[in-house]
Amino acid sequence: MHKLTFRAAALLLGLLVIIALLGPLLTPHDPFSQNLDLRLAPPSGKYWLGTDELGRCIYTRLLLGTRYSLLIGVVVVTVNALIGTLLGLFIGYGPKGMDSAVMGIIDILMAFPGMILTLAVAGILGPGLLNMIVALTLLGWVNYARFVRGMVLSLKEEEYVENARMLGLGQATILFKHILPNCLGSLLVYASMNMAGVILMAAGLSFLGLGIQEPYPEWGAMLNKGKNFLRAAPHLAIFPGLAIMLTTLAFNLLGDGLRDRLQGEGEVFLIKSEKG
Amino acid sequence: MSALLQIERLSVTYNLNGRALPALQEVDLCLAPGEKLGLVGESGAGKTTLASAVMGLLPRGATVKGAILFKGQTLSSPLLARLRGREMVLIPQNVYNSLNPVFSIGQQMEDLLVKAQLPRQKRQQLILELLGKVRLPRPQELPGSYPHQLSGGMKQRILLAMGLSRSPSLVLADEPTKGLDPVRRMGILRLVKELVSRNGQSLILITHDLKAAVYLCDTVALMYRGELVEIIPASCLLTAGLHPYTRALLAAAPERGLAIPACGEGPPSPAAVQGCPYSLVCPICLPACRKKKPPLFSVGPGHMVRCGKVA
Amino acid sequence: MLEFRQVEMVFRSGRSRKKAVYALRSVSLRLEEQEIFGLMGESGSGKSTLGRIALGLLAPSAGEICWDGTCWTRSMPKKVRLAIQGIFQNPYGAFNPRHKLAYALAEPLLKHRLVRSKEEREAAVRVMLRRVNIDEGCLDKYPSQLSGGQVQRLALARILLMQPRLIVADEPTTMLDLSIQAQVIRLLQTVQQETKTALLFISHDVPVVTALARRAGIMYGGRLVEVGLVDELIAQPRHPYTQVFLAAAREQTVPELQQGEQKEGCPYVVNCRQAGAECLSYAPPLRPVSGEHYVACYWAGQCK
Repeated sequence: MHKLTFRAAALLLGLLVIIALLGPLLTPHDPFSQNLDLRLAPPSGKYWLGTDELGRCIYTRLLLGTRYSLLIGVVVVTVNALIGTLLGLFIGYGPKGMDSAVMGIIDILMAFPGMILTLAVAGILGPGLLNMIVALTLLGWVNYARFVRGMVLSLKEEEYVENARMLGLGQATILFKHILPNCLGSLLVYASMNMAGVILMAAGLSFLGLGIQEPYPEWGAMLNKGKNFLRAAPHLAIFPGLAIMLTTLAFNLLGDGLRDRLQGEGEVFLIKSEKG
Repeated sequence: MSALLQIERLSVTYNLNGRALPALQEVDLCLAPGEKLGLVGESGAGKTTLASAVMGLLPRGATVKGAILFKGQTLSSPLLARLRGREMVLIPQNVYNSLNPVFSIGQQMEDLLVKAQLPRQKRQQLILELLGKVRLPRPQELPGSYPHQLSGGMKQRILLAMGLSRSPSLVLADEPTKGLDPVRRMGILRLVKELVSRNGQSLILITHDLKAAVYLCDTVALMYRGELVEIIPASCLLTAGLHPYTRALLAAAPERGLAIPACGEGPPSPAAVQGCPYSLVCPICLPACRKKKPPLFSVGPGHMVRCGKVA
Repeated sequence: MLEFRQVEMVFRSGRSRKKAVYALRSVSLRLEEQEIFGLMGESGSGKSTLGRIALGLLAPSAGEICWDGTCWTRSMPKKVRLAIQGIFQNPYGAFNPRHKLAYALAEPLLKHRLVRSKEEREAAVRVMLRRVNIDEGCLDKYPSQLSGGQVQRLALARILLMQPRLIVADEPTTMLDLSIQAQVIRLLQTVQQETKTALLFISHDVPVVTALARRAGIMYGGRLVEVGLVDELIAQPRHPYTQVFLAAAREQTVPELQQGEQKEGCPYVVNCRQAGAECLSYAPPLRPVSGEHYVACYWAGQCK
């Protein structure tokens, strides 16, 4: 059962990546060309998912939208994870004074309502892809830093870390060769869950007009447009909504599946060590 | 005299990711009321599996063949649910995780006694009595304390007190002396011996400490890779053990020259061996042993050996 | 060679670090070149703490540790660090579960540039594997794929590659089966004879220590209460705790010991039948009784 959902999620994500890479090749239409004669057309043989209020092909626009969502997700998560992990490693392993100082700052940052801060920053910077990424990374690393620091604090008490110290291995070796690899699994789980959150957040910002804007086909922005025609042409809102939902669901399932798999590995290890 | 516990041709096979992993093979054992049996063997010998099978605590994927009779009745899950904790108890090996950290010792012990339908006053008195019996210092302070405030040794004694609170007729103790220093080890061994013999309870002691088994038990059963290889009166074990595996274990003791025994390393091969399980490493193996598993030969009063050569 | 001079170790915990646990109190001990020294005592007696201090994993609260004339308290000189290596109770704990054994064994060699070339490194590892009797195929595996005995031998192989002059073995066999225990101890014995490394063997297993060590010490309550040649110690234990400890190891009935909260004075005083007023106020120092035999008891030798 678990394996099945994990595979389904992996399959779906693989599909999304292919779509993002090959988008234009999968459709005969242009995402920007308007056809005012065919406004708000329902799904048909020619326009598979119908057309929007300017007569643009929704299917084609959704395909292109995949690029934005995945790009934002990947960039934001990577930047956050990198900053957060490095910081987490250093404060977890470094001197206690630094740890308390940085953790103090992190606690203050965490006390801000993240959503509102992101909204405010996005509002101040103005709409646009880059500004949205900046707004999402401003606080995003904080959770990673806390998460990694916590793991480092427990991992550095592990016997193999102590053995490494005994063998006279340097601090950097211990940190990057012994502690970091043991964080990566959980980090991957967290990142894939976080990816879902980031994509949802990005769609939300665009929905509010703070992210990517018309004419670019971002899913959130499309949803925003679609809400005006909910009665007359519900497919305008339904399909972008579905796209957002499926993508976030896939990342969440991926995270769950990864976690199960990693725990499974851990169990095998435990069974073995008891046998010793 | 009828047996308290009778195990007949018990086989247990675990299922690990679709692979069958035999853990016990056709084990026959009989335990008289008041008898103390030591179950000795190394990791993977199946001694813990045997205890779990008796207690009905095997993991879900395990297949069980054969029968276990307790006081003449076949153990079924409803019967087990009635017996567990009352008629038979398991003193777990892991003292650290066996007490609930959020309840006080007193609460946890009372929970056990609630079903005995004793008035509250009586229960608390009984708890103090039990804690005194396992020779814990200052027993009156213990019911109010929490597991994290106690040392490993104290927790072990509390678990012992809890196990014995309903005067079970069968006590299974899983490695009670593992990792203890000599003074503490002796303390626990003496305590178990006293408590169990005072009430005439039966004991199954799971251990790989041969000397502890000799000290505490009447009979010792040696297991190797899921099979009983020798059953011997405890007093004879150190001098008259016959099975080559028994002898190898005895010779491995530091006092006897630390001979490196032939035991085969790593987990047992899942492929069932046709012949004697020890034949793969046995120094005195006969060709016939590889083809057919020898039965348990009786070689003396209460002494049985599964070996084609020595019998 | 290695010498502890009045080493103290206090662990503080709780609010404003008020709760203090005295793990070691004024422990002085000298290990000789090439000798096997057995350190015995109950859990919590401080024997592992002493081992960890020897390995430089813990810094003592007071006192000095000396090695060939260099002395330190807080931080162990790097040169000494490589010369003292250890193996521990849980064999699997020695290795990072994410590293294959080939890397795990080669890592210290690489980091300390103990070998000049890849060939030299691989040859060294191969020779060492043969010495600890492990198949080369194991190098391509993770520690969790091997048995406890194999992993313990590999842990030994890894520290032997560093060519230590002192090995601290902290209960290396307690978690192993009887048969594997014999293997590991035999191996320690041969390795020690071949390399002439000194060995500090920490254990509460009296027979093992008897079989292995030349000298032994008994610890109780953070203090070294008796030191001497193993045979003498076994034949004529002087300290009342040693007597109880050794008797218990022979399955003789011994009194149960109370945990004393003794700040000053002899740690054994709550359990001691002979304790006098001086035992309560001043801890007896280690004093020679004969030759290499030392005991920390005012009354040793005077009573039964």
